[in-house]
Amino acid sequence: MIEVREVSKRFKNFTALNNVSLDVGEGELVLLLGPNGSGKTTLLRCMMGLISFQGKILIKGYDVKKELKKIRKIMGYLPQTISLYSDMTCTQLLDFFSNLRGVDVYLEDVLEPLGLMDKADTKVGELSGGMRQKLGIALTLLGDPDVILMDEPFSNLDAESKSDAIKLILDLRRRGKTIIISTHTISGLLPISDRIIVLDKGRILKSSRPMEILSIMNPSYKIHVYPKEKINLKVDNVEHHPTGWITITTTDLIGVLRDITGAIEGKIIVEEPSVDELIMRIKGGV
Amino acid sequence: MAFTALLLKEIRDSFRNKWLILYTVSFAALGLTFSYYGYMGLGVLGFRAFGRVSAALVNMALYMIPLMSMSLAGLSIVGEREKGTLEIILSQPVSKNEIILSKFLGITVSITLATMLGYGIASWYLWMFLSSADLSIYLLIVSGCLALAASLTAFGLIISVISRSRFEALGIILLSWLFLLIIYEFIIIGLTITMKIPLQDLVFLVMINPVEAARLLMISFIDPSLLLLGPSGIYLTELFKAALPYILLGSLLAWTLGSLIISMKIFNLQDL
Repeated sequence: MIEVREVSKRFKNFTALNNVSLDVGEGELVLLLGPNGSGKTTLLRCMMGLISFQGKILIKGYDVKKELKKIRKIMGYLPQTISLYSDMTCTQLLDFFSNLRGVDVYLEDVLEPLGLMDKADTKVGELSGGMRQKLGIALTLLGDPDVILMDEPFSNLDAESKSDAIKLILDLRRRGKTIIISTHTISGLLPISDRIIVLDKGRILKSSRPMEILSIMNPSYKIHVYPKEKINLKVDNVEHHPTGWITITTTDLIGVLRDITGAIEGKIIVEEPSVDELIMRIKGGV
Repeated sequence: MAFTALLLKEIRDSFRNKWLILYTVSFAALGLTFSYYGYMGLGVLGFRAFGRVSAALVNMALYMIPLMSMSLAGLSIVGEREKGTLEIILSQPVSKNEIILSKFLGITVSITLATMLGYGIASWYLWMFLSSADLSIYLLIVSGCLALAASLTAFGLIISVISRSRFEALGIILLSWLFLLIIYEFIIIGLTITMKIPLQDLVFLVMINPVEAARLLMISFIDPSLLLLGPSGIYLTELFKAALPYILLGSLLAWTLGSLIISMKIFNLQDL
């Protein structure tokens, strides 16, 4: 479905992509992980033909450098920073973009799944950052594209909206769409993704299934607990706070949870490992 | 369908632009003032009504149309790039050439409609005094305005694609406007005095400036013999005879097409 062959991109003195090659199969959901400046956005922009590059990219057999219009008809793209025409209402904006794509759109079909139906007549400039992000997702999906590229789709979204967006992505995956998501947040997406591609300094560091990546990374988790009584933990990294809370940093999540069961009040808070930490561990492991 | 959507959005945006609204209102107000005083002087001075009024309106158009065309076009693409809306537009099935063409047509049409409205109010006042010859002059002047708006809108699009910010674009727009309207004339005068350039070279230099070409074109509509311009006007009519308006239109058309091609070439070579 997507073939990227020896793609390089330089901006003056900075190499954003260095000889990147990858394949994404039909119906695959791929996560692009990498620190800032690793080349994630540049790679997505190359795939959309928004910037020039050396090398070759084929989308469904169409060459990005030669058949841009055909490619953009079958692709939906959500930029990292979503800027929309603030003087238009949501309805006017959707009408305008559906005319650009040459498709007929029912407002309910587009706005309802993202909980924006009551905002149909609101001007875009009056929407919150999260709502604008949701509207951006709605625009990306106009015309039911086969290939969907999303650059940091969860930025500006609160937990509930993020959950709605993940449900939407899951539905797209079920319908066989090919999806590439560049993200800094892997929670929620990890169980539904087929592959994780880790980029660093414009090169592909690793491309594997999520479980393989996790086993290489051996991530450390931060667990925050409030114990009823003194607990004896066989882990090194324990931090006692004056409030009575304890923060445990461990790579043995299940072992620690087993040890502390019954000795805590309320809920256990487990922080997901940061993407930057995961990348550092991959770099150390490969 | 995509092109029509872009074009309609451009016209809609232009008419919501406060500068274009101000332009239309001031054009109409000044046009009406010129018409009123032009007509008032008729009995005393014995001039034709529309001749005097149209000459004043032409001068006004020559200052305002370049400024409006270059401002609206010059800030269009760089503005979208700065706001970030260009990225989402370019990710739709539209080409960069379609974006340039829709902006060009949208802005040219908007300025022409605004100018016609301004002239229209003046001509409405003069309607009862206009002869059929005056009416044709009025329509010819509007077409001259259209040609001028088209050439400088296209030129403004070059400014828009090469500028890195709206601030930079605005600077280039104002400098270009000053150059085309004022500095260029000083250069020509300076060259004539110091280098004693031949008259045919002078004519060529005047014709390659779109504002000067439009000025000559519209004056030739009011006074085909160009007597208003003195001996050089007579030389021009002798040299080109009836072909003069077509040559001047050709100069404006060359500016339009040349600028459009250059802006498309640059835009297509750029990232985003």
